[in-house]
Amino acid sequence: MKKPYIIAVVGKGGAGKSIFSAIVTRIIAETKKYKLLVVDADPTHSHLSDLLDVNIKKSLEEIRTQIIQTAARGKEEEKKKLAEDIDYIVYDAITETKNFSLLTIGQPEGAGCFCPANTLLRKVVTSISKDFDIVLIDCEAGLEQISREVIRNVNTIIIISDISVRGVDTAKTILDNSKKFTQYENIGMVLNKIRGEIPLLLKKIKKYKIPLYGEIPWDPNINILDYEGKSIYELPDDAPSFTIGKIVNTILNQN
Amino acid sequence: MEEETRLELGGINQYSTSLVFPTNSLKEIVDGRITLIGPEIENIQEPRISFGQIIILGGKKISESHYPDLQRMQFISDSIEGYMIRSIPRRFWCRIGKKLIDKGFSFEILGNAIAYLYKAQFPDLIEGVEIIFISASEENIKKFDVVISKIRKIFKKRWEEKVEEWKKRVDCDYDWACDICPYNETCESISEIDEQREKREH
Repeated sequence: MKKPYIIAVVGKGGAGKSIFSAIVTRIIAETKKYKLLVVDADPTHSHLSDLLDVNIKKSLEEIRTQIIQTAARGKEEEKKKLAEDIDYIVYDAITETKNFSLLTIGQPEGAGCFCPANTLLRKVVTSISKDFDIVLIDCEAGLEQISREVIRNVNTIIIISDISVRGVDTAKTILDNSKKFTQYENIGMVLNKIRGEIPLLLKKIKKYKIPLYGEIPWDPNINILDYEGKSIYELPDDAPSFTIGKIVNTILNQN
Repeated sequence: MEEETRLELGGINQYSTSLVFPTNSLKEIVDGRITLIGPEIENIQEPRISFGQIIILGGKKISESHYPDLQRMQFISDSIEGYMIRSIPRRFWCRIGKKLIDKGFSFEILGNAIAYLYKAQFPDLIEGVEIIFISASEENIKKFDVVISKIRKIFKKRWEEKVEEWKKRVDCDYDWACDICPYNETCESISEIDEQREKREH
């Protein structure tokens, strides 16, 4: 397996990307075989840290603000120092636990998009990710991060979808856009929250030629988790969601 | 709509002009007067013609802040069935359906409808509406363009002010956004930090 092996989790809002990412994190972490960096790239609903029971020190957005402010003041010495230190500063924003590390992008504050700051941070994060075996990115809902080439150099794209027609249609659009805007090696979808028989939906997926990584049954434990704001470590061992283990094996062994 | 169209006014290959002119001086207009320079709809044989429409709105209380709303009102696309207008700045493009013309639709009816709609929409603001339609020829419309060029200049100036206002906004979704962005210097400064880091790394 290439190092770092980058996995991006994408899909329609509410499909279950964050829960999936959290459980994948737990499963990979428990193998203790890999150095794992998890990136919470959802700026609007960044609750991966809660699901993984991690306290975040700093988000990437705070560092971005620091870069912008330093640049705006325009003092040469300060700029030079920031250029020297930026990799350390970003590294410092990564929260390390025993078996994985977590980086949260955070929500942009204030006006202006300051694209060069994003470019700079992307370079730093790319450089830092070389220290890890696996980088797992929990993306923002929809297509934005794909079409803006935020996740261009990705090895595997996992498209999460519920069993709605719209979810599968979104998956198809994501597949098409991923072909256009990313350089993935593998792509496939995971059907989530399955209840009952879904022959028509599977037919549609086949027609769209979307490879299927696996299926996750409907899990009432997830609802309880969600309502009570608990972490995924409180899921019972026999929770149906742990079928994700099979999917993780498929993904890690596909090369 | 295209196949149902009997007459197209203005449009891509025709000469056209369109102006909404608000004024506070009521003496200059005759409320309800509709002037047609050129043939009435029933006498037009061609499927498409050059066209001009000038709407003069009188009201003592009209101020500059009302202009955008008043301008927008001219595109009364959905208000008359079979009459569809497209919003093209300073030009004119509309299609009139066969059924509507068969029922006897005329510029007079159109003018009255426009005047009625303006008054209905802005009852406290508009005291008089006068409309000029030019269906005669391209040359005739061009003569009007000379007359209204002074008014256009005022609007153009206002438009430019609006663009200046937009420049204060930051929106990288446009290709030209960086050229007018007030934070441009900051971004350049960030790029310098990036370059310095690169130099250090390699």
